[in-house]
Amino acid sequence: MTRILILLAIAGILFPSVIILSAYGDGLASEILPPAMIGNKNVTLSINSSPFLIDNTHVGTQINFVLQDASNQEPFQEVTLAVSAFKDNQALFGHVFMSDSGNFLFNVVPDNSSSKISIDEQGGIFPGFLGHSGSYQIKGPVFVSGGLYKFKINVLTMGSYDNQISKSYDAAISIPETKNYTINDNDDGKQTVTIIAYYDQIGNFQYDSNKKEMSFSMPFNWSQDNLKQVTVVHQELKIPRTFTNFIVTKYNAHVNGVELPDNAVSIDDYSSDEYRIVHLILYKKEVNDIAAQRSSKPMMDFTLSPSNETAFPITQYTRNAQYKISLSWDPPKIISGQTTRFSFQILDPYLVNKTVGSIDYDFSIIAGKNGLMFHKSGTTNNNDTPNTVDVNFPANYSGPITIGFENLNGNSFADSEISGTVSKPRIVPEFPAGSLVVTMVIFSLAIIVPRLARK
Amino acid sequence: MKISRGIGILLAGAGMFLLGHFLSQLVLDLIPTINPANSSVIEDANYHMVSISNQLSIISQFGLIVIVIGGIIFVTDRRKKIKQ
Repeated sequence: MTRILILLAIAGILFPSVIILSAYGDGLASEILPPAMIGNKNVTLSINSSPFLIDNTHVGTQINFVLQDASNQEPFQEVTLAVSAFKDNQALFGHVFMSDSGNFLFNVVPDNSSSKISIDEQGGIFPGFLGHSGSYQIKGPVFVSGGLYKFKINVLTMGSYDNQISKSYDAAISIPETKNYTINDNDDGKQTVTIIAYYDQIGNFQYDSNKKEMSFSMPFNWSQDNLKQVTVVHQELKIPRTFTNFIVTKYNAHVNGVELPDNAVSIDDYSSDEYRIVHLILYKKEVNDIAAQRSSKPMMDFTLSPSNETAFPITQYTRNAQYKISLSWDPPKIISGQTTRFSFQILDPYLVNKTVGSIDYDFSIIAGKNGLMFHKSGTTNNNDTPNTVDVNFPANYSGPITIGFENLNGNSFADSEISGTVSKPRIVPEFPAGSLVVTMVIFSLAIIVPRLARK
Repeated sequence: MKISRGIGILLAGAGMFLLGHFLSQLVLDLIPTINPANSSVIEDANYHMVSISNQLSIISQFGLIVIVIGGIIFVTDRRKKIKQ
């Protein structure tokens, strides 16, 4: 042991060791690490991965590193990087990469058929003989799944292959992963919820049909170093429109028991006809708020459930971003067989709460995908008072509806769709006849039986 | 067996080129890059091995020049022989 220590001490004295500075990066598909001084140069490392979104059928990934001058964004020439990649604290590969232009492109070919990872420089018959293109192919069981991939990047040369330096970067790339979960709801039956995890892999997905609550977990490093660098944690949930219990105007979302503010939960009804997309977006502030109350385990436990409250008015831009529609309805729960009053305003998208004046509109309610239930053409009020439309919903329909605004001011591109749900009325007996009969019988017996007994 | 000096230089150049290139790549592949604990010994090993790889790469590039020189000498000697 002593000999090893002496050898290490000698090695430390003999070799020109330098203090290794580190810069940390968080898990995004693209980022530029904070600049740091190397000699008299202000240097930053840019990292990109593409394709940005990888689903379960992806065939490859490209990762691009550029070591550049922070002052003019020009890449440095003749750069050598020692790159090692890790996932879940396990080393995947490590290799030295060289590029004459300072631009590195790694073509990653996930291949589960082999346990060996091969790294080959690309370009010409003898790649690397007359120069280094910086283009490499990495083939093997790497990047076969999404999640957070961490890189340790040590810059060995910069400006010239003879100019040896020491600078270490800790970076990470998140490869989004799409997962489908089939759940069974008491009211809506079997539903498939899709979650796209943009930070790290999620797991332990559960659905509680009684509480109407989805929950899932994601690994997260709560260290101060990581908290300083995390800019955003994003989860995207695709909820089928037929899952009516979850097509609401407001959600309750929690992470590790901490309720997320309304602005961390955004609803997208526009991107897909089949799904409502709910984004849970945690910026630095929200992550730090959770960190202040977190438990000791290195996880983020997400829960999502429909809120009993309504978030009116619902505001949405038209497809051509010409107008902004502000919509609310009363009663907040649309019940079949009852009349609901829809109130709306057509607003100027660039001014706060300023209506656009009197314009023509087509208002329609569509049951499901294409069953027109109600239609009205009209002209909006000339003042700021909301326009109202009363709709009597048929007693025989319950389920998802689309509230559509079309042809605003005669423009066929100025349209917008908002999702809603028609619920079945809860049948509560007005008069509890059954219990009254039972009570009467008990009372009668209580009076008659003692009298008969006396006789 | 006697070989002409042009062929000898040409073969030496080819040897320099192939050996230099493949040894340079071999050294690059052998560099221990996985260094999660930031060990300075591994850092230093990286620098020295990159230097060795660069020098071997220069040898292989010189090999190409030697091949060209060998070719010129071979052609010149052959012309001289024909004239004689």
